[in-house]
Amino acid sequence: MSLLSIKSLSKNFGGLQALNEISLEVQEGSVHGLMGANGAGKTTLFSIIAGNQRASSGSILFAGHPIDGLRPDQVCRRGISRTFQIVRPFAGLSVRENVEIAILYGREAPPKVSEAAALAQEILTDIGLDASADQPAGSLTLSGRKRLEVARALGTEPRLLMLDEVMAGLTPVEVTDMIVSLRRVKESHGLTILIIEHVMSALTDMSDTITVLHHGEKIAQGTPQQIADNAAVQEAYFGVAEPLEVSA
Amino acid sequence: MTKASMTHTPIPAIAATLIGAILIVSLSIFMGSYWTVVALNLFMWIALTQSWSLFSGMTGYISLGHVVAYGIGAYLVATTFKIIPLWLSIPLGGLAAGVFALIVAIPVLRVRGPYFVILTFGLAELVKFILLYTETTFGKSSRLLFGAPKTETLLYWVAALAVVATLITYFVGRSRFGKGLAAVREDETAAETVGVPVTRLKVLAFAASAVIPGMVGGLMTMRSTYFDVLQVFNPTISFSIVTMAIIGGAGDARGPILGALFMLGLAELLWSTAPQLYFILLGLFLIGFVLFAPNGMIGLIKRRKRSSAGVAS
Ligand SMILES: Nc1ncnc2c1ncn2[C@@H]1O[C@H](COP(=O)(O)OP(=O)(O)OP(=O)(O)O)[C@@H](O)[C@H]1O
Ligand SMILES: [Mg+2]
Repeated sequence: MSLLSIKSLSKNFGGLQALNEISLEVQEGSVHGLMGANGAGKTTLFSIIAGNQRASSGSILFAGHPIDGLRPDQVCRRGISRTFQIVRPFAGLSVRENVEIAILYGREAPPKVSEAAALAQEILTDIGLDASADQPAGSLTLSGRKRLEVARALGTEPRLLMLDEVMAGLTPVEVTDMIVSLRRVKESHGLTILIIEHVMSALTDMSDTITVLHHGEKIAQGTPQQIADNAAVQEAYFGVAEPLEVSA
Repeated sequence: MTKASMTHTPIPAIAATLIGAILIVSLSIFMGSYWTVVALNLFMWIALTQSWSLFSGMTGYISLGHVVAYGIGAYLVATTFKIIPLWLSIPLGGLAAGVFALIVAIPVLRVRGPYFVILTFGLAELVKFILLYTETTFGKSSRLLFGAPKTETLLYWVAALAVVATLITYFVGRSRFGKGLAAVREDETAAETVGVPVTRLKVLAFAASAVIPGMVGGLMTMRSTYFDVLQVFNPTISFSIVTMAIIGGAGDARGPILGALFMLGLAELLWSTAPQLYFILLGLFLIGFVLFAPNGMIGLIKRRKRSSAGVAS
């Protein structure tokens, strides 16, 4: 069953066509990868789904209900949560408070204020940030901030988690850690994940299906192996048709 | 998970606030009429700054127009004096201020930063001149108010409002609402993306922060025996509120109290002997705090506590 269903979505910024008639189905329980060169329109797609930006045309169904036109806070309470590629922590608040706010506001049935701290701590433990819980979020390293983006998104108890380059700028060891954490929370929370990643090995490792965007157009979709063998993708990425290396 | 939650019991804070207020009220009345007036002013500024901090301290939207609430309350009470009893007109003054804030909130809260500061200031001036025009057109450039309550009576009421405003700031800071406002202050886009209904929270806080100032305005206009638009809509009132909040520190219920105590203390020391020096020092302190201690006196105290507890920040 598809949890998220996008139909003919377009977005233009003035003369620039950032997304052109994109259609996409994200299956419940799957990890769906999004790839594409810089400026392909990946982040724009996230922003529109999350309600941060309006589409120029097209429709979005989530769990069978239309969500286009809803405010971001409403989309969030419906069960969609995104992270920001350029991280946006509540820098002056503690790491735990960042997650508490997501817990108190992002859920359809929020817990009591007195319970939020303990729930936040659990999520921070899951994502490997528990030691920094009392630190101001602004004092975290890049890797910490990326983790906080994920922890805060998890706080809202999403059905669909949208991750925008949460591994960019991390060391290989940190990338491995992140993949392990993501796999764990996906299982324990029963998540569906839509993930943008430039780290190819991470993307092919995690994804069941990959969609490729190029200049706002959807040029391919398939399993990681199919995408690696796809001539159009080679063309778009390297200008030559040569198979990509895929780690099995 | 030893210090996971900061949910200490609120009883000591409530007790301290009540006992402090009762002590100051009784002591000042005991010491005579001069000190009664000083205490009245102190509680007035605490009530005003505390209410301001409920919105501006929590959200980071610096309002330079809070005198409007004060003025509207004063205007309602003065125009209905001897027609409506005070126990009714004063809450109505607060309500009118709150409703006015609610109406202007949506357009005003669309802008942030310096634009918001200037807009609120401009709006306050606009309301002042509209009322001034109305009053002079009807030949009422000032109204005499005979038979107002005694200073002691006003002191009880204003002190009660200061206590209520302090407790509201204190409890909101610990509540879900307060955490939502903090998220708004930090990053509105991130806040709404994790589910915070940003606009609703801002509008509610803005309207709520006008109610007590409206009531304070109503009570304080009873202090002077006449009502004058230019006096109750004086922008200096807004400036003083912001100054006290900056010096004391907003975003913590103790900040406005410290700020009001500090400014009134300075005024007591210098106002009658060297008023120029008072303003020079006030300006210097303001600059000093903005540059070196943006979280005010309360921020300095917290920092000291933290470092003496040996916790790296
Ligand atoms: N708010 C905006 N106003 C105008 N143009 C925009 C805006 N946001 C994005 N764009 C443009 O739309 C295009 C798609 O941008 P987007 O950020 O979605 O790309 P992306 O695939 O996420 O790229 P990257 O891999 O660099 O993150 C780019 O050309 C970008 O410059
Ligand atoms: Mg992007």
